[in-house]
Parts: sequence; structure tokens; C-alpha cells
Amino acid sequence: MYGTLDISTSALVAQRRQLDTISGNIANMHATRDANGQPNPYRRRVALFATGDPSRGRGAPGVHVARIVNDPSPCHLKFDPDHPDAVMAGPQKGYVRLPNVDLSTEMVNALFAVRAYEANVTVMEITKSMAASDLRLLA
Amino acid sequence: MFFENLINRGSLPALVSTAAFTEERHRMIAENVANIGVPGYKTRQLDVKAFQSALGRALDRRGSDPRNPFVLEGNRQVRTNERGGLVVTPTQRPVENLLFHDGTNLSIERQMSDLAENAMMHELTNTLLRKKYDGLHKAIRGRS
Repeated sequence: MYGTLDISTSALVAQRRQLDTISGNIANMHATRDANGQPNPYRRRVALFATGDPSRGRGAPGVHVARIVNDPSPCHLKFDPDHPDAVMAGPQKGYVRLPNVDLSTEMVNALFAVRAYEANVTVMEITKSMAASDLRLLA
Repeated sequence: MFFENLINRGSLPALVSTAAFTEERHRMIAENVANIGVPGYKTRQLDVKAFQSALGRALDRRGSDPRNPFVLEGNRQVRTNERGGLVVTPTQRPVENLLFHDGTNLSIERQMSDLAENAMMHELTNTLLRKKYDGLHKAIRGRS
């Protein structure tokens, strides 16, 4: 029974990291500069899930976020020649390079993560009630 | 010896096996639910009908004599280890006609309904076990 709770916990942790990634993406959806103040648009991050829970040893059942990678898709371009970060020369002259974050995609992914989180909480509640019913056998 | 006789009779061993089975099945469903959205994850399953028919055969073989041991014969998913514990090995659910482009075949609705059904089965088994133990208790104390 206790192992079952660990499985659900690993899923809660993984879905929480997914939600953190999504909120980072949404927060940075207009960030045209990097942390050093250079004009370098934020790149959307994606959490990659993998089965198993290495934090509890090899082959432990559960789920974890294997890596968080940058989405390599091209930046969004917006024509705004007066913007301080607009491209000065070349074929993209006058365009601002915006992060490749799409708000609707992020919202759909966030909904999915929340639903998955809730499903795992439900499993945990049922695990707890089953364990309580097992313990009542002793009384 | 005498006590073993007492707890090996009637439906007690079958109830204990069923409780162990529902517990393992619950763990498997928890793993399936935890892996929603993992690319390439294949849903695991335990065949309830196969377990029940193995249970039925074990009860038939034991017959009404409580001295006969209760042996749950193994099949592909369920077997009894040398200490009498239940060992289950879930298999992958075969691919149905719908397969998502990330290679999973998980249906969360089915998992949640299996979860509820399995929890009710566990509760039922535990209730029956509790009644059995209460009966034994009363017999031992000699009063109700």
C-alpha cells in the first residue's frame, strides 16, 4: 500500500514540474531579451516525461520528468520597427523576434496537467481508504 | 495445527487471496494513472476473470475438507510463491483500434472506473473478512 502512495507521489511531482514549466513559458511569452539583457528571445521549454521513478532506485514504478528541453521551433516574428529590439538589417528588418510560446497550446497543456494531477490525488485518496480498511481488520 | 485448521476452512483463504489480488491490482492502476501523458507507455492490465476462475478451481480442488490445503494454481498473471504470498505480473493491454500518435493506449476513463470498481471489491472482501474474524472472536470468547 505504501509503495502505491509513492507511485502517485512521483506523478504529482512530475505534473507539478510540468505546470512549473508551463507557467515559466507563459510568464516569458513576451521576453525578447535574455537574462544578460541581450536581445535574444526566450525559448519555450518542454518537460519530457519518462516512466519509472529513479529517485527511489532503479526500476521503481512511477513517472518522472526525464529532461526539460528547449523547443527548437522558430521564433514568432512581429512587425514593429519602433521596438528597441527590432531587427536592424537583413530580410527580417523591422521585425521583432518574440518567443515561440503559443498561449493556447500552453493553456491546453496546463489543463491536461491539472487533470492528471487531480486523477493522481483521487488515486491517493482511494489508496488511503483501502489502507484504512485493511487496518480496521486488526481492530 | 488446530488453529491452522480453523483459519484454512470455509471462505477465509479465498478472501485473503482476493484482498491480496485487489491490492496488487490497485497498485497497477495507480501506476497506469501516474503514467498519463508519457509517450510510448503501454497500459498494464490484470485479468480479473482469470484470477476468479483460478480461485474457483482452487476452492473446488480443496473441496469441503479443511485439511486439504488451499492452493491457488498459477497462470500467466497470478501465482503463489513458496511462502504462500500472491505474486502478480501484469501484462500489457493489447493495442485496440485507437492508438494515439505518441504510442500510448491509455484511457483514463477506463482506469478510473477500474479503480473505483477495484476499491469496492477490496472493501467488500475486507468487510467479509472482518465478519469472519468477528465470528472466530466470539467463538473464542464464548459469548457475543
